[in-house]
Amino acid sequence: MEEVTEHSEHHSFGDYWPSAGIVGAIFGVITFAIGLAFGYMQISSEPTGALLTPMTISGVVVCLVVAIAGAISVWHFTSEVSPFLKLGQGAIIGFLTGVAITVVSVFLNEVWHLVDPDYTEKYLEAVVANFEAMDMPAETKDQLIDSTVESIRTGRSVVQQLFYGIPMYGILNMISAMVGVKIFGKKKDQETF
Amino acid sequence: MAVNARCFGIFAGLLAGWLLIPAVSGLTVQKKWPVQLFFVAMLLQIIDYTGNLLGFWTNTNLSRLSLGLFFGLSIPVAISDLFYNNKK
Repeated sequence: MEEVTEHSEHHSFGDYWPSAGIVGAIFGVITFAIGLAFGYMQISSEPTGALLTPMTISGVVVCLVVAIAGAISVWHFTSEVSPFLKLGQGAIIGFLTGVAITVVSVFLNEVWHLVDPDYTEKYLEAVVANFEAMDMPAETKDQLIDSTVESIRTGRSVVQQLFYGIPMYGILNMISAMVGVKIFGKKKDQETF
Repeated sequence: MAVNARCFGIFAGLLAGWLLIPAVSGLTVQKKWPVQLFFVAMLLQIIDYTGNLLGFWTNTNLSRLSLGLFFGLSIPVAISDLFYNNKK
């Protein structure tokens, strides 16, 4: 009996991937869909010069949605593999979930640029048009437009998206997965027979 | 990388929370309130952002920083129990 309990505490990467992969893939699709929906909302919106635009809202919404993926991965792991999970193991599951979300959403973004090759340009035009309508000094406006255009253009490359996405989503989900361990996991001394 | 007031508050709260874990362990180990506090802090973030978005109020840098700090602090406090062996 002791051997079984000991064995159940030592999980390999292979045990983590199904939970991280499934939840990561689902949230990758959701992230991509939310980003795309807000992107087209930005493209079709009138340039009002408002600070709160679909572009700024999408970042917050995506961040909020992605942040719960780590906790859900842990819930999946505790219900499908083992309810006994250490904090560090939960952190690994969370990080792997973040990796999966990034890879899936970047892949879907690339596919979408085959479907709509002008998407980035249309999006940029809408963002710049909104900045142009803002009530601020011309010099500040130019700087804002230049930096935003540059960040959107450089952020389009796959390497850049992975370079920023994996640590960001990885750490975010690592934290939420650790909270998930606290909520869904059981400690060995909580085991009842 | 530049971060806004809310994110700065969250990061500062996270750091402070990790450092506070040994100090607050007596109050948090085997207690339910840290997780409840975490959910309250999370809910406050959502309410504050949504209220500002819908025009019910305008949040300030100080309110964003304070709520971010509270949320950041609540995370390590919520999981602090896991750093301790509960066997008596």
